[in-house]
Amino acid sequence: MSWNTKHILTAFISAAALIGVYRYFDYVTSRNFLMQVNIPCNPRAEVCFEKVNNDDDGDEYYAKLQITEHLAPRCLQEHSCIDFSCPIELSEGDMCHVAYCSSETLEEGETCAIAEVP
Amino acid sequence: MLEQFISIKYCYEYLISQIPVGLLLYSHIPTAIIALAFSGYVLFKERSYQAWALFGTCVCFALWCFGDLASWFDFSAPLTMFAWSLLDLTALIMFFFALYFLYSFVSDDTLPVWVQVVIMASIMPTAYWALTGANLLYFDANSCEAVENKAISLYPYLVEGFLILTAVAVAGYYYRKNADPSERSKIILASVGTILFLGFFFTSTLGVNILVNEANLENAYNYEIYGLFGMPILLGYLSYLIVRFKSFNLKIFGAQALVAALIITTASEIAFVTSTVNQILVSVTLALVIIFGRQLTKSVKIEILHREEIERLAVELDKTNAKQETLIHFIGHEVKGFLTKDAGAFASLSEGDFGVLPPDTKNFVDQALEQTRRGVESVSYILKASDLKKGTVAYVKQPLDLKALVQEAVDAAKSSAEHRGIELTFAADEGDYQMMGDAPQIKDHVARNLIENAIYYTPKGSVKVHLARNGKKLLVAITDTGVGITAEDMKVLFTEGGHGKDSIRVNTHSTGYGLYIAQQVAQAMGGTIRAESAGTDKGSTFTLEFPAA
Repeated sequence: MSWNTKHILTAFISAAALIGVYRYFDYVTSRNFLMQVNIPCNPRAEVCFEKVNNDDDGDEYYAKLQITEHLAPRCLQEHSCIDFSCPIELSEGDMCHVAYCSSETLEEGETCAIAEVP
Repeated sequence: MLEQFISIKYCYEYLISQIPVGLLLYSHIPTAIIALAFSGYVLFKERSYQAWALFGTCVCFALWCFGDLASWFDFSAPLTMFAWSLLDLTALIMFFFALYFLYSFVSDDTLPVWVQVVIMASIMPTAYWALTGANLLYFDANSCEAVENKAISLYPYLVEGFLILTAVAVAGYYYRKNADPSERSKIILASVGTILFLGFFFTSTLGVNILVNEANLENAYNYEIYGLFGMPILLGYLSYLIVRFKSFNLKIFGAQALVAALIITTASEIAFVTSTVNQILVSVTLALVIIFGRQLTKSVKIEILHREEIERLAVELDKTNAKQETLIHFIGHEVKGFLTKDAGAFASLSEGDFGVLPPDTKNFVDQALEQTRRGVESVSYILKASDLKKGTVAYVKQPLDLKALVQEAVDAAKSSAEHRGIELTFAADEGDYQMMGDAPQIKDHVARNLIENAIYYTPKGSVKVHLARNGKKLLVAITDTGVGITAEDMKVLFTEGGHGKDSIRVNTHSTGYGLYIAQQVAQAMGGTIRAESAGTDKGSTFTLEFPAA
């Protein structure tokens, strides 16, 4: 293999490896990425997303939570949080936002549940 | 067992509802391990561009497999994001190495630097997006998947498609450039294997991308696993290249490759089996396959070595025989030349060219002349046998009357028979004895040979020559009351230099080539010679058979 080829390949592979190292630091060590999870929503209080179930469990109502992963408690990923709310103070770069159903947040195949008037 | 490693129970249950875990493991782990083992072995044996490029391809493939597996199993959201973020970049580097391998294999040269730079430059955007994290939007904890940036996720497929087309162009160019059929076969095998591997991978991952982003199809990622089976296809083609063409300077024979494949396939079943009983059974089967496979390859290897040794010896023998033939020819011609001159000198003396010789001296000269002529004849026989063996004798076949030809041969042998006190008779049945053949060759080397042999090997008694026609066959039977032929002598009768044990005592001047020559000439005329004898001192019959015209 010629001198040029060796060095070019070495530089290329090294660059790819460095990218891997940086991504590991950012994602695994710092957990600096957004996570989106559906959280329970009260259709009487908010405009929730609606998931129609054909079985006897009834329809599901949810809101979309976007949160920086290192802020997310385990129960969020286990979908077992009963009453989650975003932290009051957030550090720079962190995010925690609950999106309710609207024309802006609605994606293809999703439906909004009409909030019931008490 | 897997459940223990996946930290989020929700994601584990989501995974097993999407795809059979065994299929996931079976499609990723064995193929990655086989690729690494194969390319590692090739690199270990040969440090060429091709071997390095193949190793690079397989390492990237293995990294992609393990990264994809990590993103499937969702050990944790961070690990999933990390593995997923590098998949596209790893795939592109794999395509680069695969193209590098193909180019260096078909051209026997390294990929030009400018081409390498262009390809690396085309990979740079993907590398940049991986570095900045722009290729992934967020982690969807509902489906335990990373969500890709749609536009960015399409770019790598453009580059992959371009590299596949480049691979096809390279293969086509070097196929047409190379006229040697063997080299063309190698190019075809390497090219088809590489392009199929890249094609499988490309179509499955692109197809999944479209299904996920455009069709929002549930379980779309399941189809990605089928693209991984392109790697066994590539390895299959490369294995065939190694076995048939000894590529990469590897001497692996078919049995080794098959046994290795059998071991890996059996071991892969461990990914599927869940019950303890099945795991034990598969493990036992694997152990037996390894043991018996090793024995099989050992014995096949020994046979191959023996065969190669025999082939080598056969080649050496052919060379030695050829040299020997050449030497015999040279010596024969030289000796014949000297003997012919001697015969000429003795003939001149005998005929009185240098004055009348006293009776005793003339007798001596006549005997010397006869011996010299016999020497010339013996050497001529040896040269004739050599020419027949080499196939350099040219026959001129024309219509001939076998009866007249045999009559001539009998007439020529009459004086010899009378001199030895042997009764020589010739009888021919009524019939037409026309045939196609080279008359001088048949008369001198077949008919006269057989008749004179009968005379020499009959100390007393008679030699009868009988000609008959049996349908389309012309038969000449030469029957003598001579010394006969034993069963042991019969085996060497028609061989080159073949002497019977007692024949040399009866006929000291026998060269051992007469009958060999007679048979060769007879066979060239479409005929046969066979010998029959009841044993020692019971005479013999030689039957010559020719097809009638």
